[in-house]
Amino acid sequence: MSAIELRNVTVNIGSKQVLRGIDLQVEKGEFMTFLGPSGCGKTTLLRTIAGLQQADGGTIVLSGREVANGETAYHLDSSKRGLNLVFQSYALWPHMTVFDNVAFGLRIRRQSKSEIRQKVMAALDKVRISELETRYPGELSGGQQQRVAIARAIVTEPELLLLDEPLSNLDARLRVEMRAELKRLHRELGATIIYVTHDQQEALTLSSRIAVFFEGKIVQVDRPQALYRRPATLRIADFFGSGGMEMNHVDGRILFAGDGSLYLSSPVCSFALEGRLNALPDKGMAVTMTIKPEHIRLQRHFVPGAIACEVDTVFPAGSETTVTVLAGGRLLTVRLLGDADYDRGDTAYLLLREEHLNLYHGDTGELLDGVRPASLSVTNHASNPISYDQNHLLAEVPTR
Amino acid sequence: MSDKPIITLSQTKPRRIKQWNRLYGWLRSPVHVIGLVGLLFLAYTIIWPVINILLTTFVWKTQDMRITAETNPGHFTLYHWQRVLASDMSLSLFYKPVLHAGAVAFVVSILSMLLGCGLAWLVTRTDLPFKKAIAFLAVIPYLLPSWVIAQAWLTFFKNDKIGGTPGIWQSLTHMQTPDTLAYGFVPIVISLSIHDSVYFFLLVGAALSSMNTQLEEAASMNGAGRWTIIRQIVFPLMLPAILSGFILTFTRAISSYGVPAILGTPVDFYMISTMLYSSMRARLTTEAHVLSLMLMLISMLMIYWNSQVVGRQRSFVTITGKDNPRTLQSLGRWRKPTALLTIGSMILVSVVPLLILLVQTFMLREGVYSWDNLTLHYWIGGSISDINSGEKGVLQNPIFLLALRNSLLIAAFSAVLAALLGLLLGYAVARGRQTWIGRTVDQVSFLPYLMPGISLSAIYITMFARPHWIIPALYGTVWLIILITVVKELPFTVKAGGAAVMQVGGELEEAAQMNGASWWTRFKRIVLPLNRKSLLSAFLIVFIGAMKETELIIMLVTPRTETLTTLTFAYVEKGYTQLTNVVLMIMISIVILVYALATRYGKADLTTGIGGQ
Repeated sequence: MSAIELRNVTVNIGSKQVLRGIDLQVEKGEFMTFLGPSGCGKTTLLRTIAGLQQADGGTIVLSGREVANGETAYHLDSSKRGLNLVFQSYALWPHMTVFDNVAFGLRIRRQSKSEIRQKVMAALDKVRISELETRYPGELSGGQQQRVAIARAIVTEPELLLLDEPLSNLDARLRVEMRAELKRLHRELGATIIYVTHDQQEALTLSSRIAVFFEGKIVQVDRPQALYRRPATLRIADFFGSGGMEMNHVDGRILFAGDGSLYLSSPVCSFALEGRLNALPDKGMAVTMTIKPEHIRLQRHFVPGAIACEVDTVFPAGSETTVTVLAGGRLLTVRLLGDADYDRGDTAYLLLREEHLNLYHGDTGELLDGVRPASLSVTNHASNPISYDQNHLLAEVPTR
Repeated sequence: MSDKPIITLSQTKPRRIKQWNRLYGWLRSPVHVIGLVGLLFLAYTIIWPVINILLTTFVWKTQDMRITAETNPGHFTLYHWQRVLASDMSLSLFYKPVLHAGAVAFVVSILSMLLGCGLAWLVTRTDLPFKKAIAFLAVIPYLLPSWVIAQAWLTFFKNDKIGGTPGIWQSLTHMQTPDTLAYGFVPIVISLSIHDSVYFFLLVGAALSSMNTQLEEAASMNGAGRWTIIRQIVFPLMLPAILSGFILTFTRAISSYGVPAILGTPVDFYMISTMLYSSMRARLTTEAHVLSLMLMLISMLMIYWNSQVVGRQRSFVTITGKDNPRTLQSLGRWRKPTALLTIGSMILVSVVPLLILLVQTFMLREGVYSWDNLTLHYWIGGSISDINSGEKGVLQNPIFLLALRNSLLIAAFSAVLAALLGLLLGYAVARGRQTWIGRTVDQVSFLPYLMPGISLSAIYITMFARPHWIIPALYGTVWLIILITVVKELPFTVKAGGAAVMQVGGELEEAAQMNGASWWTRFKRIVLPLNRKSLLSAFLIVFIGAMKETELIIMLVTPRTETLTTLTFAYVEKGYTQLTNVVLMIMISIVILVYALATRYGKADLTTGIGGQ
């Protein structure tokens, strides 16, 4: 029995369809993250699961119990769903002390005084702020307020804990610290957690699975590693490539060699392809090749297979250095560990880690699943056996 | 998987289940329930009366038989409208009063605007000394019934030709004051302007102090001069506040009753409100209703004009939430003279009238200024038949005690009810912004603003004279006065309540909902405590309003429901000047005491009550 089962959930707000048929299954104890740009409907889905928003279509089943049904307009009160929510703004009641804030739900449930005291202290202990019980929210720092909000949500021992962008109001250092805390809490509580964020790194760090949202639809659900390695569409790849993790794009073309084998040809490099090639159309097609900056090696000296390039700009950032280089007329971003001793105009050589190279359909933007470079075939364009006509390419590949 | 599927049988059943669940879900939302109940209340107390009155003006009534033989009771006629708008008595019944009222309201609005805005600027934006004292003095006229100043004016300026006894001026100088100075247009405009400039002072003052001075500094950085900044930056940003002040003042002034009754009626200077009142007294009820509707129409046109002008500008954000140090305009060598002049004139309009009235209460014979004329008779004396036809001193007088009790009862009940109702309806407005019901409540609750108090009460007399439906005959009880006060104050309390609820983020409530709190628990434990300050402000504004209310209730009171204001007014009409002033003094003390307590201990703020941010 899944913790959450969503079937074709739709939600309209005003005349706008915010969620357009969501299907999702979340297992017990999972840390599921809803990830997407702002306005993609992830928070709306969270609120619909919480019962703060009515579903207009589809069904929501929590631990085997139907809590919302759009077809019969059935809607179970959020207080009866066995879940709790941590709000983005924390929503701490400013006129109550930390203790009263956390005790609120227990008092509603009319538990005994000693029981309330013991549970509240246990919850405050779990988030490590038991010494703050008599303070008012206004007297706390952002991180402490965040902990109170979490304590308030876990004190009633919900089976399902919903977190709505809980770290977005914290500064960078606190955010990293709270990530670790959340991970620990998930381990200790054993509850199912749904976590909403627009921060890719947060999602990759915390989740056991990630659901990516675009425009009211889930476009991919996968484990973080899988999402990182093989985004299902170019758009997802780009979304993961934003926020300090730029993604390199190179437009190219699949060509047939005389011997019947297939090659990818691009201004930067060319290589033979292997894998599920029969799924590809007969004629040459436009593709986009992506590779992350951290999957390119940059070195001063040529080795076989390396691509010559010219250093454009160097961005040192202490622990890592980002270098942009020009190869085959294209600007590529390379990320190096530590500091790097390059200057603008230097000649250097690139090595692409081909296992991290993804190919996307030039028109639909979908991943060409199972098509990969034949091992060790990536070569410098200069030594490419297939002649490459750049003008011809520009004429036929639609610019993105 | 769902254990018990809800849809099982035929096609029609799920549809019915769906409709049922829809309705149930809709009704479970507190916003909908409050909004619905609120709308019913508003429909019954505001919309229905107006429609009802409108209809009766088109129907012959039995009492019309006295006037014309054409009367055909119960049938349609345009007679009443024609009589008011196009007959030989229209000039004195309608056109002259309208002209008078319009001219008075217009001049009053302009004068109040100049006085109020100027004062607001001095207090919020300059380095004027004694600001606190000035701000306090400026609010005093607001705490008094508007006609107190008129009463003081009369005490000072009246002449023995029309007033019977000479006023202070004539007694001192032995010069008869001209009628135009003592009565009519000039004193009416002055009295009303002094009282109503407070609205501008509060509204524009609040807007000015919440405006970020960086906006001005930015203009100055761009090379704008002082005058350009005021004209191009400050004025446009203040326009919404100025216009709402203008509307407030105009609608109040055009329907004011007390001042024109005291200063206008003796010289036959009638405004619509006083004409309405005398028509009502003369049992020309239907004609009075036509006048009410016309008065409402004029107010509505003003508001419509306001919304046209202000329209999109309401979206100006002048509050940035950043409390940056204010750069104050230096007055230079004008600083001291300005302060002196300001305080001097404030004392002249706020304190001197009160002192004049207070001194009067100790004078056995009016207009005789000598030591042996002093007496406490009007405060504690018994019945002496030569003085005021044997009317007892105020503190001995059972009627006064009844009026005091009624006033306190009415003010306290109305204030509590109006504040709570305002918060509840404000809740529906703020939380239901996205729904039709929230928007409708917002708009309908604004309607009493368009209805001059005297028109509303003219309507309520007819409506509540007899028991109907489940409502008993409220006429003759304090409950009718409480009801009308609550309804009349709704535009302010709902606005204030809505703004307050808006500040309590929806998530605070949802968090409680997640923890299983019912709506009532949420309201009691979250919404109410967080809105305590605004609730208290609304209470204060309604309490003061009810204590000094004249226009609204003058027609509704009966001997049993006499209040302090109507008692004073009755004394005014009988010419019992000293008794009038004694009652006024007591009333004013109560108002000022409550104001001081509420602002000091409850941190109440008048501006939130009259529509400031």
